[in-house]
Amino acid sequence: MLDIQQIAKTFHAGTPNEVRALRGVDLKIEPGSFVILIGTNGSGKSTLLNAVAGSFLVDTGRLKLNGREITRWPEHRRAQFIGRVFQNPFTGTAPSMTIAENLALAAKRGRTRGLGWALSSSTKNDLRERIRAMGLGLEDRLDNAIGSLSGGQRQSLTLLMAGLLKPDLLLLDEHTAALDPKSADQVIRLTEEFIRRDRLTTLMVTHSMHQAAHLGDRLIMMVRGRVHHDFQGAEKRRLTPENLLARFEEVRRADQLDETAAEMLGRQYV
Amino acid sequence: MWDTLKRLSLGLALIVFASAILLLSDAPRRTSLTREPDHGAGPVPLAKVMKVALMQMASQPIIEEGADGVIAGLKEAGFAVGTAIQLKRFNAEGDLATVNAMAQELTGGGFDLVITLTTSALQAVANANQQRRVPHVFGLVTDPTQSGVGVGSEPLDHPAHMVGVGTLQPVAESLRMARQMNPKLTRVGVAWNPAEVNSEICTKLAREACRELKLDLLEATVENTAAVHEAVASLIARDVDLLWIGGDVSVLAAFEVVAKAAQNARIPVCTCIPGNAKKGSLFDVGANYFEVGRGIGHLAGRVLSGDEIAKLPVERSTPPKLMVNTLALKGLRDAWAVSAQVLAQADSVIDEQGQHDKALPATKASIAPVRTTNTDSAPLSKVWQLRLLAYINSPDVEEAEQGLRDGLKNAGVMEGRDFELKVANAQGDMTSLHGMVESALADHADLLLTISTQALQSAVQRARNTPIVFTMVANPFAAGVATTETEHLASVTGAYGSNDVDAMMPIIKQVLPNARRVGALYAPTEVNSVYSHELLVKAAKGASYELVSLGINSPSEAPDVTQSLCGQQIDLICLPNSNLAGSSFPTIVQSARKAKVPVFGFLGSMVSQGAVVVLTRDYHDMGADSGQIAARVMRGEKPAAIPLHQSRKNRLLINMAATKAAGLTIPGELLKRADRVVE
Amino acid sequence: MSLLVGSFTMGLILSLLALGVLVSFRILAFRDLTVDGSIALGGAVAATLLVAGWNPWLATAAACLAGALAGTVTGVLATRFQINGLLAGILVMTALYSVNLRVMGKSNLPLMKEQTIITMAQRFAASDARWSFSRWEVPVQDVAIVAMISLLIGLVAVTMYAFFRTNLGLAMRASGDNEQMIRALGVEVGWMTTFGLALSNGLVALAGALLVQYQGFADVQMGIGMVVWGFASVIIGESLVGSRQIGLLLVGAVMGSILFRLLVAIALRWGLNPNDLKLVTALFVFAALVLPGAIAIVRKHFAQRSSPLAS
Repeated sequence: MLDIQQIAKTFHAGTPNEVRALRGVDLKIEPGSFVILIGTNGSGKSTLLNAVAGSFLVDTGRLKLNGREITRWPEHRRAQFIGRVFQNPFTGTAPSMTIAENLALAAKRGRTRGLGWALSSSTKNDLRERIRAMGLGLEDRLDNAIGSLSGGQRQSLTLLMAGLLKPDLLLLDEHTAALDPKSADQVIRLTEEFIRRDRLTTLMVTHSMHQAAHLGDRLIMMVRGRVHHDFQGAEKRRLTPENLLARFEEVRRADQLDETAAEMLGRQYV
Repeated sequence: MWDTLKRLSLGLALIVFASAILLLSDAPRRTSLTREPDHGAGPVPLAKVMKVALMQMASQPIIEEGADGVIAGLKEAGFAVGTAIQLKRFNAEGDLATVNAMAQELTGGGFDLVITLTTSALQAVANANQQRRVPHVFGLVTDPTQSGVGVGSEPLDHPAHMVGVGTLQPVAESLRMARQMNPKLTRVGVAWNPAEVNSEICTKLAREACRELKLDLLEATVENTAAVHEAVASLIARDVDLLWIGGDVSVLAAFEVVAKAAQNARIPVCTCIPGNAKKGSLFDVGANYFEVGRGIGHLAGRVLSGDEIAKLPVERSTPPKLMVNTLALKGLRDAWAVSAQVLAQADSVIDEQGQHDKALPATKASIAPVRTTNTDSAPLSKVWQLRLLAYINSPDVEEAEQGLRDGLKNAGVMEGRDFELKVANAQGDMTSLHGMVESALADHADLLLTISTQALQSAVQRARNTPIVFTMVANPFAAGVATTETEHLASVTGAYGSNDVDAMMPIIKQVLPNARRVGALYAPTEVNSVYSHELLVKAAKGASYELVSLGINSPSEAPDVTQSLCGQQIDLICLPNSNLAGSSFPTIVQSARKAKVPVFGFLGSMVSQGAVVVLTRDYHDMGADSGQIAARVMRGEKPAAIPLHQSRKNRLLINMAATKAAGLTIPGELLKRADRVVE
Repeated sequence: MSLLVGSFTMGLILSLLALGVLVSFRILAFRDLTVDGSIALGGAVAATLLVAGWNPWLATAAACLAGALAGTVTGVLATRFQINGLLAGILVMTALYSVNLRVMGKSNLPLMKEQTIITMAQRFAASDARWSFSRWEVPVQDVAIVAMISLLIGLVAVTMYAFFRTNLGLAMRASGDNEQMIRALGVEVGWMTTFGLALSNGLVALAGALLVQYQGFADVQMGIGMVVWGFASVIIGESLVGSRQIGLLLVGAVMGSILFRLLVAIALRWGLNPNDLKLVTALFVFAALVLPGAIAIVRKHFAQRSSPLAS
């Protein structure tokens, strides 16, 4: 399904701000799997997601989706296979356009957009049913500007839009991080529901140990631009938030050790 | 839906409110000011009143003269307008579509007689009149036979409802007169446009006449006005003794070009259309169109009194009108002389009387009629509402405005007593200009005065019936309001004039006798600048200077372009007028001074900014000319009948400091002539 | 009354300019200064073709296409060559100055005798026919012109409204509203921007073509400062309708343009000192910039009073 081969990305190469965000990531994701990505700040988990989405092109390595080589494809071209939900609830919707118009845009994701009516009455009815099914009570506000909704409502709609045309790959980038706990729970509930119903292949980045432990069937832990650990099958099912935290503590100590060692070596040799 | 309406309500309400304010401010005078039409309604007649329609093609002076003649002729035949007949006049203003619409109306019943002036009017009415056969008298037609309406070459060979007068240009007479003035004349050159029917007829007649007089006729054809220069040059190269123009509109439109070329070759020009003598032809022999009109009036009178049209002959007559310009005799290569007999015969003679500027021949003559007409200062019958529209603010515009006021005053019309004058200035914004014109019209302006070309063009477009007098226009022909000085839009007249580059050439020669290369900067985006530059190109060529020209598009380019110009071994810079050169003159002069190149200019302000010599058009004077013209309009003359007036008065300004800095000396003779010397 | 009709005509013609600016400025969020050049381009192309004897409708359509081409160039510069949008507009505007000179062959082209859309409209009435309404009267020809122009503007506005409700139009609006989002939905924003700029400048050039036919001459300098009137109209219109809904925005721009010309006409009619004209027009624009805030406050006030439950 998704085959990531040795991809690397360095930002601001050759400047004092150089950041080696991805240092050779290898990852294969099977169809229908729900993969959680966790990692410390700056570990490269969001960068990996963006590399797959095409927000930038990788420096080395290859990306394959559904057997197609997409390494050099621009973002808008990859969109025909990929649905996305962003961390910021404002990023996923066009604020001055109505709910119906936003959904109509999503209904044409990656397809040719011609001069046909975007919102014929049948399309609109169809969309209304989809929204009603979410149970947010937004089905009567189809003609309201989306900018007038709360962050949670917007994020739920973004989720609906990402899955409106069943995507080959769904990318969720800490999509509940900016929401209040109640909205976050609701969005997570919707996420699980969609993924289960349509058997979507999903790559989800999260900060929440709770979500990481309870969601998905595979968990990738990233450290310093590399895959640090890959929990699969029974190992993943056994994970608890506490296990994960302990793991992180290990990593943190290892990091510190590295740093002190480097410091010591530096003092000795410089 | 309701929500949408609610949201639009504020905007709609504001628009309605603004419209209401506008309407209210437009209203108060509307009731008091219903103007009587100029013609038509007269005293109520007693006997049966015949209804006559008089249709003309356009508002050219010769057609107006003809129409006046028709009315006079009708009166002499016992059919005075207003008593015996009711005359309704139609004017298509040159629009062929309108001509046809009018023709339909004229022949649709309701008229006892239709009189048409010019060939197009004849053709349109004849075409529409094929079924109804309303009595029709035509005139001001060169050759009725060739107009294809069924009139044969024999006097009685014409349709039974149609008769008229043919007026050929006196082609043979003009050539005979030329022969008389110079017995050694052998080669006559003619430039003509084969696309013009009338011109073709004249040229054919000229061929016959030349054969008879044993003259060689050399022909050069033109396709349009732009080609005239080349055609005339080719004729001169073929060594003609005289340039002759029949009735060719294309060539007459470029008469100035012909006159200039002839002057350079030191040969005379003569034409068959009266009026060109004012612009430099030696003489014009043409038809007296008032007399032609009278003949038409007489003929119409016979039709009205019941004579059978079929038995009336189609007359062909050309009452002559002669105009001689003795000033054009000066400097001719061959021995041309105007005999006392010819002078006595002439209807008008232009000579040196009243001329005050020796450097510029043939000038005063055209100034004279403008300046001398109305010296009476009787109050006018109403208080005229004058609106002065200007496009930009500049010292020259202010001078022109003052000139206009002075011109009106000198012509004896008083502000307050005879007119009220309001001034509007668009400050360089074209859309405002438009609104200003609208506003002036809504204010019931009786006469619009415009300063600058853009103001004139805007006014012309919106003001349909309100007369317009312009000033400070370099080239009204390029601006589209006129084709020649006498043929212009019916409601528009005024004074124009551009840089006198010709007069500048001898001045340059006096100051810099060894100069070979002249540099010029002009703005390709300004109409006036391009025109001024073209004049400079011609003048420089005439004075055998090499001209190096560079275009300049923005003030910031000025220093670089000037430097690059100075780097091309030029002896001086001669700056044709442009707004750009005016505004960036200080930087131009600075760059030129570094390169020790003197600058000659045409804008008054330049002399104090470091130009060596400035020969400026006197905008005050031009304004005054327009003021005089405006006064004539206010006294009842029709703008259509007032020829455009070319202002030629110059002021010579010299900057001694700049002269010294450039290491030059000004000859004493030139210093004496200077109107102002800046130390 | 013909002053009123004249202001309406001018306002309607310039509303095409406002609609063009609306597309670039509001819908694409692209500050496009090509407008100054493309309005003159439209005028130049229309005038030149009319003088050459073209059918007025064809000449006007050609002018519109020329404007679209200019917009395309700006779009390509901005999106393919990654030149800053403002700079790309300025570059094309500057270049168009020379292009316009080339097109016309000279800097000023009179259209005194040519058949134009305006003369075609005038043909519907006799030249001296007048309509009177109690104390006011107006030449029927002027009414014919304003009717023809209204029809044209109405057609353009309805077409635009329809377009912005198609899939393509929706994508264009989203490109200006949220670039990241629409890219993630598979739209190439660069292409969409280019296409939008073509549309915008096509409309502006159409305004230029009509303006030239109405005023009777084309001048290479006629575009200078036009973009400001466009912005002013759009902003006035927005504050009038108080909504970003597309249909209301379109109507608002047209109303803003008309209102702006009416205000200028009133200022002129009341005979203000000629030297103050620019100041007064600047005041209008200032008012337009400040009014949206004031009107919004008033609206809020009323909204709160009428429905206390909202908020």
